[in-house]
Amino acid sequence: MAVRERIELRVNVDHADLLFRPDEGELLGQRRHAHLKRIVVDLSDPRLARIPEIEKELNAHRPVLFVGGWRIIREYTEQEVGEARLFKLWCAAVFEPAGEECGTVYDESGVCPVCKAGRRQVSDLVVDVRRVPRGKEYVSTYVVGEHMVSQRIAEALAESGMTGFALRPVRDVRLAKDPPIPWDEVPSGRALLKRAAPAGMARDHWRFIVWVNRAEQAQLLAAAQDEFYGSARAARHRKVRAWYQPVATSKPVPISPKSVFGERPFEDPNPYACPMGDTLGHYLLSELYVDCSAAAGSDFACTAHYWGFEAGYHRPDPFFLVSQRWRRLFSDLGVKGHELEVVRCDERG
Amino acid sequence: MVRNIAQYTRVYLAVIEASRQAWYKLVDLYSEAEVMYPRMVGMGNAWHHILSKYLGGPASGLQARLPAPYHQFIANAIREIEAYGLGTRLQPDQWLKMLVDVHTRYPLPLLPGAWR
Repeated sequence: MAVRERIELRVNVDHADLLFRPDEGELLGQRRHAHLKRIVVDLSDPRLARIPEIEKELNAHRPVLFVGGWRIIREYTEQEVGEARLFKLWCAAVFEPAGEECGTVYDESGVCPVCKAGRRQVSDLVVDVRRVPRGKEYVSTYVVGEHMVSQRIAEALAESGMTGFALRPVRDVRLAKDPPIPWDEVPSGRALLKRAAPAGMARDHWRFIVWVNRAEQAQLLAAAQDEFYGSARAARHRKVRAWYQPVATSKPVPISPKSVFGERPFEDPNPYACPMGDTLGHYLLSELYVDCSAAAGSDFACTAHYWGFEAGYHRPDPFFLVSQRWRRLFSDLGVKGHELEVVRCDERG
Repeated sequence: MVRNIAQYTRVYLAVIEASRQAWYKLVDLYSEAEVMYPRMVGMGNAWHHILSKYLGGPASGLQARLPAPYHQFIANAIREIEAYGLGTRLQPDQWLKMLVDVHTRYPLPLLPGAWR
């Protein structure tokens, strides 16, 4: 394996010299208030093992921050990326508020009684579209799974012939109470249905909604909106860009026991592993190992197991997996806002 | 709204104590924040969730009323410690260390009506 694993640490400047050289890392912070260092070291660096011990000493009398946030950075060779079957999809362009704060409805009746994993989203995703980061086409609220793709990406995905997913329309919080247009009840809607028929698109299929929002249909769509909502309300609908939430329709993929979960890479305990077996821990510390055969034939899937814990609007989350075809499409389109990491196959998983 | 404050009492008390000890910095910091974020001057006050929602803080958690530029100042200080967009959620001990560190440097106003 040629993957290079490093860890980025946010270290309190006041105490950084207890473990790191003064010239290591770069200062972070606002003007004269810089009080943190971003230090990147190899994950195998033996100094990391001393962090819990130093923290214990510093915190003996009062709470002191030594290491704040951290993240593992993995760099793969081109060959590894080219040969991988699956990738972990992560959204790096994040915004607030969460979908639930805007009216997205979840059904928690079937969740795990211990870790609360497994809630089901039962409404379309409702977000405040005004808060979407500019210039990004794959974005998410800070809640994992509330991710969205732009119209351009949705069109490319719809045409790509890829499988294992559906794109659910995302609703803007200001217009969420407006019902969707009943296409056969307004003249322009009927015209759209007639136009869609030769393409073999059923009106209840997600591809139809993506097709309706294409530039070629703009005039008819605008007319249908005017007819159904009235011109003032329709004008507001036209101002909101179309976004779609990718949801997995394929079978969830089990995570292999070879994947290591825990609190931090330099600590042993894994207190958030659910005894019922659905949440495996707070963070994934190793590369992700899954049973790739379970994802065969799908270009998009989510894992059958979860990570994280219930806190605020967060719940334990699955990982999202995409195929090599999906990676190439995102790469060709120059999609901004996403990160991909190679997933290892462990068929025994 | 049910407010589950009890599990974070220790954190809130530590934030109050850190702010109490550093209150004398507040006026200077307000001015400095206005220089750093001039577009936010005149935007009024913002309610700041003491336990940030993106880190798993409860929606019903305590909030402090801050001038918009200073709110941005504090939000950035928190995001430097715990980066945005990693799905991170904190436990009470981690909240404690992070918020004492932040509010020792950037205190919260403790005036009547500044918290809810």
